[in-house]
This record gives sequence, structure tokens and C-alpha cells, in this order.
Amino acid sequence: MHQRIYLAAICLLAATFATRVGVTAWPAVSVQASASQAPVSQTSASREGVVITTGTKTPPSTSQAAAPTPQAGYVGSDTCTACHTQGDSLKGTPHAQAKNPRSPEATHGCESCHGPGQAHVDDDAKGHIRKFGQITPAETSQTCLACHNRGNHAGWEGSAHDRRNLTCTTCHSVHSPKSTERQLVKKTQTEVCATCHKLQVTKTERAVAHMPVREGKMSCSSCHNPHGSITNVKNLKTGGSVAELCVSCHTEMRGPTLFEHAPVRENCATCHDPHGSSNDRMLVVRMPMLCQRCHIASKHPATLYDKDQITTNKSNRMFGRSCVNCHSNIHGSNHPSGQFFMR
Amino acid sequence: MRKLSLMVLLMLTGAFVAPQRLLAQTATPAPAAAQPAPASAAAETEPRSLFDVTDREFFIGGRVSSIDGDPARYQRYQDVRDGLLFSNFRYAFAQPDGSAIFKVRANNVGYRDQEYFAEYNRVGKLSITGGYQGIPQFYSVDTMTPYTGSGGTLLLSDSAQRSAQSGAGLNAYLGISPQFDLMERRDIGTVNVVATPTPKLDVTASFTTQRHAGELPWGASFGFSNDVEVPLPYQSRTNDFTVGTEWTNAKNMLRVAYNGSWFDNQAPTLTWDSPLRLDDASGAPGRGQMSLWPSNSAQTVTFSGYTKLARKTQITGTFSYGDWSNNSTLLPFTINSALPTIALPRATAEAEAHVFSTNLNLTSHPAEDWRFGARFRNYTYDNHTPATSITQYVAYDSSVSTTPTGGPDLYAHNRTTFDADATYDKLKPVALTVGYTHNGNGYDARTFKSTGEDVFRVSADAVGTSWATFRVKYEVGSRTGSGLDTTQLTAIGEHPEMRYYDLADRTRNSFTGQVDIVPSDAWTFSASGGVLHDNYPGTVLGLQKSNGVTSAFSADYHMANGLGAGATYNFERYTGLQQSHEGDSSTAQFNDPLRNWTSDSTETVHYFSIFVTPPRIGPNTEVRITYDFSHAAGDNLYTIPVGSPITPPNQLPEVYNQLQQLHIDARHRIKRNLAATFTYLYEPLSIYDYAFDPSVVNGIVQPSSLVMGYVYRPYTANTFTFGLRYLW
Repeated sequence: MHQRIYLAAICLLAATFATRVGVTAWPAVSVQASASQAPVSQTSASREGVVITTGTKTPPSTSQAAAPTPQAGYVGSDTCTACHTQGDSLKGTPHAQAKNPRSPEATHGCESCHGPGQAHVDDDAKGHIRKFGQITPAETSQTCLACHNRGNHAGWEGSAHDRRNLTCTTCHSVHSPKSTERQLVKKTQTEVCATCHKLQVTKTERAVAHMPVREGKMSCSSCHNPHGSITNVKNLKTGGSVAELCVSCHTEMRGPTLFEHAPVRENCATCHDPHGSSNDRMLVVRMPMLCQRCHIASKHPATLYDKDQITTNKSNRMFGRSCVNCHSNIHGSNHPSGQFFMR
Repeated sequence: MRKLSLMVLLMLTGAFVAPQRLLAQTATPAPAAAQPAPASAAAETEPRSLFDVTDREFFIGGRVSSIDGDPARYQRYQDVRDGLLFSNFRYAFAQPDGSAIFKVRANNVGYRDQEYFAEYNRVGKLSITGGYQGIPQFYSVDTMTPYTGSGGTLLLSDSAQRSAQSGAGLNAYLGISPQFDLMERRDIGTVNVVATPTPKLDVTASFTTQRHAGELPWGASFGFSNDVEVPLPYQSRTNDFTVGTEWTNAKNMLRVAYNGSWFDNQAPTLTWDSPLRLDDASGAPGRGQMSLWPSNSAQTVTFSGYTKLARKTQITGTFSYGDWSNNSTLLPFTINSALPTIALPRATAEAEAHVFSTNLNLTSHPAEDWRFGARFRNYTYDNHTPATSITQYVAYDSSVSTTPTGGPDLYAHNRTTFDADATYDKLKPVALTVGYTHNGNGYDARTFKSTGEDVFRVSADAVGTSWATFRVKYEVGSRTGSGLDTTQLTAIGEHPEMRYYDLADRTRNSFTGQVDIVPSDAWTFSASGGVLHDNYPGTVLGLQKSNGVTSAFSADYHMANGLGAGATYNFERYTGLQQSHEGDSSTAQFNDPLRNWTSDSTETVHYFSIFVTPPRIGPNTEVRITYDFSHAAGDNLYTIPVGSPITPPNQLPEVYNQLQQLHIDARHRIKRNLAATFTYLYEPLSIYDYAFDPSVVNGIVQPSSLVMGYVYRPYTANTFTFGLRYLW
């Protein structure tokens, strides 16, 4: 019943907005010229007085804008780089791939992101251009999303990071990236994530941490899509639930099995901290205390296992893997005698 | 094998190097499309840092380690054995016109943790990437076992079993249990293809295969007095295949994808000898058998899309359907020939589940300073395994018992989430957000039929200024369950006042905050903290409270001359209070509150990290130094009521682990394209856990267990890596 109400509410909201198309539309181009950016001729003089032909490029009316047609207000990247040497910094990056019709280089170069530059060229105060340090995070995101609107980026709108007012340039740098991949503002992905998620990252540095993050073969984005997930919670990149994400690698735990353990089926994080913990197998609390949070049946599950049980009695409910010494199939059993996960 | 691989690669490298060196010397820079880092004007006057990774380089040298202590833990997921080392091999090539890019990469060639990667990118048209990774999992060099065999059958010496059966006990195995290295490995190969027939269309396909091989520590018990730890043979393969297509224009996206995943356990059954007997008897088997992870498959189709509407409004939606199944052959209830045969309910598991997932997301910016969002999510795990009547089972292959539930519980669940928030960002750069979430969950075969949780939150986020970032968020939530069915507890002997903490009534308060200050180009300061309080007001027995407090502070300093230094300190404390009850359910003890006891666990973590980047020493020498320190300690405090008949507890000792890592990395440029490198890693681990204490697990024979001797041991490792880094 509730589902239907929610669905109806969302549809109603959507319909309300949809009927008012054109009032405040999404930017159809990656950067819109302001009113002051009046059309000028296609040929203009740069600051050095060199005549620059602005070419026949079109505005990036869509991310796939490919068919060049003359467009007023654009001056061409050569004009930009006459003053802005950081234009060279695009070399070698995907933004400079002229052969890729989705790349800014295939459309308006610098002006694909910064907007038509003629008004800027003509302005002694050097305004009238999109300066990413001076616009809101949402405006920055909209500029990038004009092209980065597919694949991993499709879930940005409304994602956890979007809702916290982050934007693309919070993590990425187009002109001065520090990383070798993904044009990040720091050298590694882990460093970027640690800017805000210090505790999760330092958990991976503990003595008991998720394999093999510390060794460099996994990183945050092995499990998370920082641009937002359109299928899962917590920006998880795969599956529709925490458990589905985990079993996408740990397929042996996927089941279904004849006898199932309810928390295993529902959420691995009920018992494990996926980033790392101080306990063997990244358990949220050590055994047998973890199991005793839910199992208080008479006899051994409810026994108070104190120091004497480990040093004097050497109880096999305490040493080694504790409860799992016997209940080894704790993630589910396919054995007809597996009700208690011992077979 | 390792040396052979290395030689082959060296020859290949030589073949690459010769022509490319010519290219480099004829003043042809590395192809623009293959250069990762931006060139700057300064780079022309000062040589590039030797710590910048390039797309054309390799390292060749040697590695030597000194490990005092547990070498297996030091190499838990890596291979740092001594020897020649060829690594960090990178080669990239781009067509002069930028139409195609080719990249290859290789690390730790010939070692257990070797990895390879290759990419061919026909820019804007086709991308093919492939890779291989080896991931070792090295458990122990302390382990010993009398078990031999393979393929899921672990055997003991008949004479030793006979000797044990006639009264010698487990000591019969002391002389026949050789040491062995307990390890397992994972090999992962993957190929991804993305074709772009038109600028609006992507067609993707990927294939991943993952192989497990080796042995795991595993419990294989015959009962409380006959607990056995065995090296479980593990051989499996998982193949994943995904194909999909995505069409996008400026306002719309449509995506459809199929994923098939097949897990094949090639050793799905463990059969192992009892160390106490050779012959089967009622109550005492000579051999046991258990089912391991069953082979299974999952097929999922996903439809996704979004559309952009007026008022900067976007609707994004995903629907997926998955079919999960496991139809492995059911093993007999027992292989103990002295016990009566119980008829199987059916020949195969016939386990199946249908998984439905729906996500809808609406965002809108109807006015300049306002943003709204609403999300709807439904996730349904629908269990389609047929009801199975199992009224009797065989416990530990020893005796026939009656099942308390009459067969497996058919767990299923359904989660529905509605979430909405509104953000006001006129107070630039601060954005204020209020939000509400309702989580409605339904369950089959659990204590609560459903739970509902309402969560309210407020947050303030200030980003976009060059000198400060500020974020805070406060959440308050309340979860309540309905449809309590205590027979789900009493049927399996649980106390009716116990509540599973993943369903129990709960109130949650959480706060997180962070401030970053950048007062100048040289300095960056950051402080963050968080508090989490979970209370379970309806829980008498079970988890009652779970709290966490975290804080972090850091400062970084960078000078234009290259000098840099920074330090970070993190503090974490997590506590949990749970109450249990020690009493026989068949007597009045079961309801005697004096037999309640509590366990109050505390985990405290200190983490400290520093880095130092000295200025260049002369024009050609650079050094980097980092140090990380992590200390985690866990305490547990038992309490009993005054007058309790429970024996006063002898409190458990503190457990701890402390990991330090000091890295010193020095590089010296010999020639324009050649550098000598020296890396030193000092890594001491001190660790104590009473469950893996070598003085407790002091041999393979324990009072009622035959184990392998896996323990926690500290280590101090010194690893030196030295060699040449060649760039071309």
C-alpha cells in the first residue's frame, strides 16, 4: 500500500514539473552564453593582435554534438591558450581526444566547458566566462554532466555526494590532476576518499582489513561508485543490496542454500565491517560475543565464557574460530543435517 | 616458473625498448594521448619528479626481506619473497593522429601477486581492456596436520585412528602431523569491451573468471568433545558474463543489461576421518561428511533510464529482476553406517529465489535557491525454495535428533524505502538540507513480521570556497517492529525476551561533522568527528546499546620548493552492551533475572600517520618518507547481578593489535631516462588475541580438539627493494 502511495507521489511531482517545460529548462548546452556574451564575428583579434579564425565548430548542444556549424561567440582554443597556458594541460587527457566525438576537443575545446569566449576576450575585466572557482557546485556539476551523462555517471543527480553539495571538481581536476588515472585532485583514489571518509579509509589500514586494499589491488571504487548508484544503496556499484554487492565477488556465499542464516541472507554488514575491524574476519565484535547478541538459548549459547574457559578449560567454544569451530557453515548449509550449520 | 616468466618479460621489454629509445632520442615525446600528467612551464626548466608515474617505464631490481616472526601474516595478501623483481612495467602507445591508444601494464612479474593489464582504445569507437590478477592468501607457516588426501576427502592413518579408538586418544597424531604452509590463492581474469557505434550508443560486454585454489582453515566437528580443524581443500571457479547497451542523448538515457554468474565448486563435499575412531558406531562415527558451498548461479536483467524535464528536474529509474538458483545434489543425512538411514526429502536442493529491485529517483531545482529530491526503493528477496519437511537430522554424524522447526525456514524479505529532502542554498556557500526517510521492511520466518523506521535529518554543507569547507549532519531515527511472533524464538529454544538486533526496536542518533581550512597555499587543516548512539529500548536480552565516537585531525604543509609534510591523527571508540541469560529452559532458571549477565565491549583505536617530502637533494635525488601507526585494543567486561548464582567471572584479557609501517623511498636520476631507486619498508606488527594465543593453542592436540595450530604471532619485517627505473 505504502509503495503505491510513494510511487504515485513521485509520478505526481514529475508530472507537475513536466507540464511546465521551458520555464527553467536544463542547460541544453554545456555552457550557455550570458546575455552580455553578444554574438560577434567569427574572426577576432587576440590580445597579441594575431588574427584568429574561430572555425566552424558548433556549440555542444548535446554531449554528442558532432556536426560543426558556425556559431557566434566562440573564439577557438587557440585564442584561449594565447593567454591561458593551462590549456596545454589537457594534452594526453580524454578531454583532448579530437577523435572522440564526445570529447570537448571534438567540439569547442576550452569553450565546451567554459562557454563562448568572445565576450570574455572583449572584456577588459576578463569576466563573461565560466570560471569554475566562482560558480556553485551544482552549476559545475551541470556543466560536466552535459557530457558525462552515461555509464558510471548516470546516477549523479540526487546521489549521496550530490546531496551533500559536492561536485565533480571536489574530486577531479581537469587541468592539474595529481593522479595517473581518472584525473583526481590527489595522487590516489584512497587519498581523495580519505578527505571526507577518513575513518573508513583508516579501517583499511588496520591489521585486520579487507583484502587486498592495503596491498593496492582493490580501492574504494572496487565496491563503490562515488558518482552515485542507480541500483543500490550507499553508492554501491553492483547489485541491489549490500549482500548482493558482497556476493558479487564472494560468490560461494551467494546461495540460496537449503538452510539459510537470516542475517547472512539480508545483510553481511550485520556481522562484518567491510572496511576492516580489530577482530578476526572483520567481525563487528569478536566471537562468541557476536553470536551471543542473538543466541541466548539455554546451554552453551548463553554460557558466560570468561578467562577460565580459555586458559584453564581451553574450551573449543573460545579458542580459534570460537563458535565457527563447529558451526562452520555459518553462511548457509546445503546439507540435510545442516540446520545448525555444522554440516 | 617465476624466473622463466621474468626472462620472457625481459626479452619482450628489450624488444620494446630498442625502437622506442630511438623515438625518444629523436625528440619525439611520448604520445600526447598517452601522457597522464599535464605538462607545465615549470616542467621544462626542472626535471620531472622521479615519483611521477609515467606511461613508459619499468623497474628491474631485487628485493630482500628479513622477517622476524610470522612471515605468513606479513604476506597475507601479497608475495614479498626475496629475488629478482620486475615490476611497474608500463607502456603506452598512441597513433600520431590520436585515433588509437594502446597500453599495457605489469607488476610483480612471476610472483604470486603478479598482475597484468592491457587496453586497446580505438578512440570514440571501441575499447577493449583485459587483465589478470593473482591474489594470494597466506594463512600460516605454523600449521600441522595428520590429514592427507585431496579432492574433498581428508584421511587419517588407519593405525592412528585405531590407536585412538583403543584409548590412546589424540596423542596418536603427534608424530605424524607434518608442518605445511596453509595458503589459498585467487586468480582473476577479466575482459571488457565497450563499442560505440554511434555517439549516442554504447554496447558493452565483459567476462570475468575467478579461480580459487588452495586450502582454508575449517572446522569439522564431531561434537563438543571431538572438535577438529582441517585444511579444507578449496577448488572453485566463478564465471561472470555481462552484456548491455546504453543509449543516451542530452535529456534521456536508456540502458538494458544482462548479467549471468555461475559459481562452480569443484570440491563441494568434505569427507573427513574422525581422529577418535576408525569404525562407525552409533554416537561415534569413524568418518564425517558435510556439504560445502554449493554451486549456484544468478541471472539478472536490469533496465535503467533517466529523463530530464523542465525546472531542472530529472527522474532516474532502475528495475531489475534476478533469478538465483542452486540445485546441487543433496548429501545423505549421514555416512555413519551404524545409524539408520533417513530418507531425503528430495534428490536435489531445488533452492531458488527471485530478486526484484526497483529504484526511482526524482530531483528538481524548481527555483534558483531550492533543490528537492525524492527517492523510492523497493527490494524484494522472494524465496522460491519449496517447503522441505525434515523432521529428523543427524547431529555431528553421531546421533539422530529431532529438528525443532520441522525443516528449513524459508527466509524472505522485502524492503521499501521512501526518502525526500529539500535543500536551500541561497546562503552561499552554505547549503541547508532537511530530509526524511521511511524504511518499511517485511520478513518471512523471522520474529517480527515487519519493521518501520522513520529518520529525520538536517545537514549543512559549505563547499566552493577556496579556503574552507564545512559539513555537518545530524540524524535521528526510530525503528519499531510489529507482528512479533515469539514462537520463532521458543521453537528453537531461544529466550522469548531476546530480540535480534537487526530487527529490534531501535532509536538512533548520529552526528558527523568536518571542517577543512586552507589559510594559505602552504597549509591545510582538517578536523572531523562523529557520534553514533543506537539504543534498543525494547530489548531485555540481546544487544541493548551500541555507541561510537570518532574524531580525526590533520595538517598538511607544502612549499613551492617541494618541501611537504603532514600528519593525521584518528581516534575511534566503539562500545556495545548486550545482556544474556544463563539458565536451563526446562527449569525455573530460565526466567530468573539473577541469571542475567551482561557483556560490555569496548574497542579503541588510535591511528597516526605522517609523511615528509623533503626538497630535492641536488637536481637529481628525491626522497619520500611515510609512517603509519595503528593501535586497536578491545576490552570486554562481564557483569552479573548482585546475588546471582552465576559464578563470578574471571574477566578476559585485553586483545590488541598494533601495526606500524615506515616507508622510505629514495630515487636518484642517473641519466635522463634512468634512475636508481631504493625502498625500505619497516613493518612491525604486535598482536595478541586470547583465542589465537600460542600459549593457549600450544599444539595440535587440545583437551577436546585436534587443531592445526593456527595462531596469532607478531612479526617485524624489513624489506629492501633496490634497482633501476627505466623511462623511455
